[in-house]
Amino acid sequence: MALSEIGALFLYFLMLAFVAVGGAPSVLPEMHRYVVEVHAWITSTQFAELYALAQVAPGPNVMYIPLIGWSIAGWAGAAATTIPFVMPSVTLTMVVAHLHARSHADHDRAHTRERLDTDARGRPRLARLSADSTDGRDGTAHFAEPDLAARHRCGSGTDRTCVIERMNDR
Amino acid sequence: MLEANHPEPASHTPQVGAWDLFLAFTHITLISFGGVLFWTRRLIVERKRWLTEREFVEIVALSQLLPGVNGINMTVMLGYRFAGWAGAAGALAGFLTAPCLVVTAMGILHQRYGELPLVQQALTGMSAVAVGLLIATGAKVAVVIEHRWRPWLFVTLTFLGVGVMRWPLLAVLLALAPCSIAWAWKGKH
Repeated sequence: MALSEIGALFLYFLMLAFVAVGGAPSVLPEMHRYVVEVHAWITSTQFAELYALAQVAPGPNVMYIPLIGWSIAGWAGAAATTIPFVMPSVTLTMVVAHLHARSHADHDRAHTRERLDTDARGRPRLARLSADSTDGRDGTAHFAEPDLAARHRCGSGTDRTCVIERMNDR
Repeated sequence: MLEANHPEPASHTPQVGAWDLFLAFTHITLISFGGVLFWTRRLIVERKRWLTEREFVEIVALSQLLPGVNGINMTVMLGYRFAGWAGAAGALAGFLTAPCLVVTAMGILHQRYGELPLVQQALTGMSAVAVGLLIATGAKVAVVIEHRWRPWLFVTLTFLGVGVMRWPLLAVLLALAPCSIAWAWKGKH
């Protein structure tokens, strides 16, 4: 198969990727039209058999795409169908995964800060400190810091420091 | 796992590298006949305990919202979650390499032995099953469509254009999708 035809195959499957919002089966008739009716690279029977074979094989159900590409033009055909078909959604997914991870990190940070500013009953920490510390010293920096470290250590832990910390919280 | 004075207590993701992901997804893809989701959950959540049930469900839900092949999106999201870009690449490579080789081997066998009567009969049977699965998928989607004449008009027109007239899908979509969206939008306002 000529290089220009491989290129055409690549561009065609890239277009399919953007149309296949409803998943791979939604472009099956279109693929059949292009590969069997327009170009006659394989017969209709071969198309059906290759599709069935790929359904029987392990892995994701899109494996009929490399298989059809392979039977048209060998390894180059498999690459020229699979890579353009998969790349757009993979790129989008990576971007979303990246944004998702970042928003999670922000959320966790905000959540931690909120937790540190209030005591176990949800009162502002400063109020608790002034109520507890009768000697009148400014305990904010003094108390908040070890408390902060201890809470990080604790999580759901059961070691002695944590238990003591939780008792202090009450 | 978590250092005493670590500034971020939220992250409790275990250390999983790109190579671990490649191996895990090669494993998943080779045992997952039918559905990928079931086996991914089994390995990642139940056996390896890399994620909690909730974290897994959240990632799967997000990956199903995105266009493209759900299994591939899920693989990329899980890979990214554990090891960033390298993890996503490793997981995706694991997910696709082995099935590609298997399917190619099947293609070679099909070319060589496809004409044998016994193989022909088996292939006819498998094709029937594959067609049945496609119809079932279509029916599952059709059930969700509202029972009003307008959506079904577009279903019928698309079917006639692509299935009967054999017009290019892109042309049919470009002609019908704007009308369908505009009509649905006008109905809401």
